[in-house]
Amino acid sequence: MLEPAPQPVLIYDRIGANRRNTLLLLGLFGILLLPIIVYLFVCLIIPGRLLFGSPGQIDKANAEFWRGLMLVPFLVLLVAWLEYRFSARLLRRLARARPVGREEEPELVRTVENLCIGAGLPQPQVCVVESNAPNAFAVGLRPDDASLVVTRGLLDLLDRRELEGVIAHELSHIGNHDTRLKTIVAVVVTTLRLPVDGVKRFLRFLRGSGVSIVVRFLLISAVPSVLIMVMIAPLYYALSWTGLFEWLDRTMKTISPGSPLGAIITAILAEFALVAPFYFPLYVFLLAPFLAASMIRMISTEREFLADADAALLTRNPGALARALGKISTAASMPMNVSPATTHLYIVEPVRTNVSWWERSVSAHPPTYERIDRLEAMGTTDAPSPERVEAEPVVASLDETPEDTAPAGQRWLSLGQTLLILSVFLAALVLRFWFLIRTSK
Amino acid sequence: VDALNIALIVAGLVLLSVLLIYNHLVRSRMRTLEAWSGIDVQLKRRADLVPNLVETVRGYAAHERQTFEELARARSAAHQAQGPAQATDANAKLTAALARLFALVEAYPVLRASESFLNLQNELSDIEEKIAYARQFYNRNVLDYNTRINTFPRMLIARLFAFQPFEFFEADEPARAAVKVEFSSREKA
Repeated sequence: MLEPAPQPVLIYDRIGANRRNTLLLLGLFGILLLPIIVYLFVCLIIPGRLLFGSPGQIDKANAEFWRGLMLVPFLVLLVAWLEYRFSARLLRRLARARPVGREEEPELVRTVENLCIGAGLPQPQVCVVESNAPNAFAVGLRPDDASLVVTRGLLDLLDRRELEGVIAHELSHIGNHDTRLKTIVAVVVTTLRLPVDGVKRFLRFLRGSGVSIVVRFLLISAVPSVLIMVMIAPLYYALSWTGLFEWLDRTMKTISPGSPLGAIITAILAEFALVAPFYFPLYVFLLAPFLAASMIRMISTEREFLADADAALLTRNPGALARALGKISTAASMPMNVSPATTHLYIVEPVRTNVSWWERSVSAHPPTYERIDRLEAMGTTDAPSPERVEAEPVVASLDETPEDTAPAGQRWLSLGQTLLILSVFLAALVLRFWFLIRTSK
Repeated sequence: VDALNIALIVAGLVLLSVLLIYNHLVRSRMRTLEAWSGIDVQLKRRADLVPNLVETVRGYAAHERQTFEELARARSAAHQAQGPAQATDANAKLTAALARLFALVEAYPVLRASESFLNLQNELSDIEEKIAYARQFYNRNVLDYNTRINTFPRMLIARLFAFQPFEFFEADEPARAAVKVEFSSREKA
């Protein structure tokens, strides 16, 4: 099943490979977001016209429209740039990480300093999260403004050599420019998951608030429409200034209903406007987060093995990192308050509270026992260590079914999920068109 | 005319690749030099710690003049050392002199327990660890650079422009156990 493939060994080659991955990822992100953007435009036109009529002057409409349209790419670019620029800070805040200095954590800062010298990297900002769950991660777009975050639990759990291994692993992520890739992924996924997480939080709030079931039901059914209204109203006002609606109105009128082309275009537009609202929630609440999770896993697995190997090379002590991984995953039953969008940043998959089997089955990390196996293959140990034996049942118990832990099983499961979602989409589409054909007769 | 054009294109490509390889080698050399300066900084820091150490010990054991003088000589040698070979030498001498100083300190329990001495000792061990890591980084760069200038086709350009190989910075302690690292990825199929 595992087949060693040659990897570029020099760090500079790896940085190049990572840059290509990043570009690919950004392209994928654009494609993932496209349906949401298209839908927003449609939503702006249909309910906008119902709610507010057609404001503005008709004679100026064309020029205004194009002028307004020219703003859109700049706005998108601005948002993208802001996200890129502040992503590291955002992620640090999401994890509630606090920067620490030499006075506060002399041992930790010294270890980071020494390993940085060994790896030829600038000093990252060292941060601590006050959480008992042992874990660590690194964020940052460039090595010279990276941050290395460890939890209090990690500092308490590991001895000096093991801590060294974990920090070397994170520094390797920084040195290989994995952090940039991962930081971008995290921001993208946070964006893609925004609606899901918002609704989830709202539901949790409702469950805790103790209101009657009728009120709860009414509130829950009101959520999507309120959500859409809240998203649309300000954008509608912004766009009505551009004269988009007048332009569309005129275009619709100029296409004569008698001609076949006009009929087709009108039918497609009308159909899309009808169908899109049904697809939008499906996409936003099911497909987008799932695609995001697959994206994370696709990118993470290989990077984790590579960072482990680099850490072993840097510390000359693969055993210590293997021990650390074993200890962390044994202690990982301790749940941690982690945003689902950032699990791939951590050195070992954090256990989250209140996750469904659905989300848990798309772990961003290769199984810990496999990582320990590989690390031990680098050293001289030939028998599986107690840590590896310990790690295996823990990893297995994290998922409901044992097949989930096997990499192949995991792949099949995620494939099944993808097919399931796609078939739901297809079924909805077929049903809709069947209905359309029947009514048109 | 056609043959001339082809010859010109080939010559242009060759020139371009020579240029690229040359730049690559220069970059690699600069990286190695920078890695060396990383060691140098730590070595100088260690040498600069010696006067403080001598001052502290002198307060308790003023008569051990010979050890102090030897230490001062080793220190100035370490300070003036140029390049890996000299630095290795001077550094081994400084390490030996420091070892003698610490052996001497064993006879003075009050000194050994004093705060300033403990601080210096901690700082020294910190610097020594940093030297070990800096050495590792430097040696990795040297390995990379030396491999580059000794493999075809870079070898030709390296010879042409007289790129000299770097020396490794040897440790005076027994080398740590070698680690076999295998870069392998999961199956892609």
